[in-house]
Amino acid sequence: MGDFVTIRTAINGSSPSRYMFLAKFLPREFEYLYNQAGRHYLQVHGELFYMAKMKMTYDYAKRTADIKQDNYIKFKAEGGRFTRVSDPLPYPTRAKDPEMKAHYDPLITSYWEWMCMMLPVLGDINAMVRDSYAKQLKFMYGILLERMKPYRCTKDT
Amino acid sequence: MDLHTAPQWLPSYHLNTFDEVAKHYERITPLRGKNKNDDIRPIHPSRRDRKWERIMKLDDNVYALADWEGMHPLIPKELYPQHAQSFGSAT
Repeated sequence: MGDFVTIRTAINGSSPSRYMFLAKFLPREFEYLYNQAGRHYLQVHGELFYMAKMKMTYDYAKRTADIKQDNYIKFKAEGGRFTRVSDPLPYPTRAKDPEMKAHYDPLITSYWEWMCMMLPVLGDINAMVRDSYAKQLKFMYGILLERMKPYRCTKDT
Repeated sequence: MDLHTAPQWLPSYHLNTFDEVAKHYERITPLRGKNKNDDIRPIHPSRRDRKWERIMKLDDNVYALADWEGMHPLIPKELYPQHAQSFGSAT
């Protein structure tokens, strides 16, 4: 019982004319806002409500519309104040698959460690710097080999 | 979070309550001429040329404010409430 207002934003994609329509004809307490990330909000009495676009496909042959996802927000008007009565609209997030993360994390870490060591050799465009670093690595590797010599088993010994 | 408002270069017209919407609907004269049979009632009284911004009476208890996207010619009229900004009064 009471007065309700139901609001929908654009269908499928971006629609600047719909945003201007909402800015012009929404009730006075409503303000239609958006940010640089393309997220749209309704500001009502200082509170922000996320607005998701609805998804729908048209069948031009049958002249029908198939609503995939009907996103709307509904407010109840009571004594000049508006209260949201519908569920909050889903905010899109980039959820990670835990199994995939567990599989790829050690691989990415080992690749990162390898790149930290090899990037100065592979990625530096200055040949002098690159060569000096490669020589330094080679020198360090030579010292390591020398130190390991007493412990190495070869065919001569 | 840096928020912006949609640009407006045309006059706005805010309707706050169901009664205001109902009175506004009754007050507007439908478009005449070739659209006289379509019962088109533009929302803004001073911008009757923008006939795609219209107010519709869907039911005694439901009015809809729709722009062109909200009343696409392919959308059946039964679905209008699901595509427009609707003002409803439940009793």
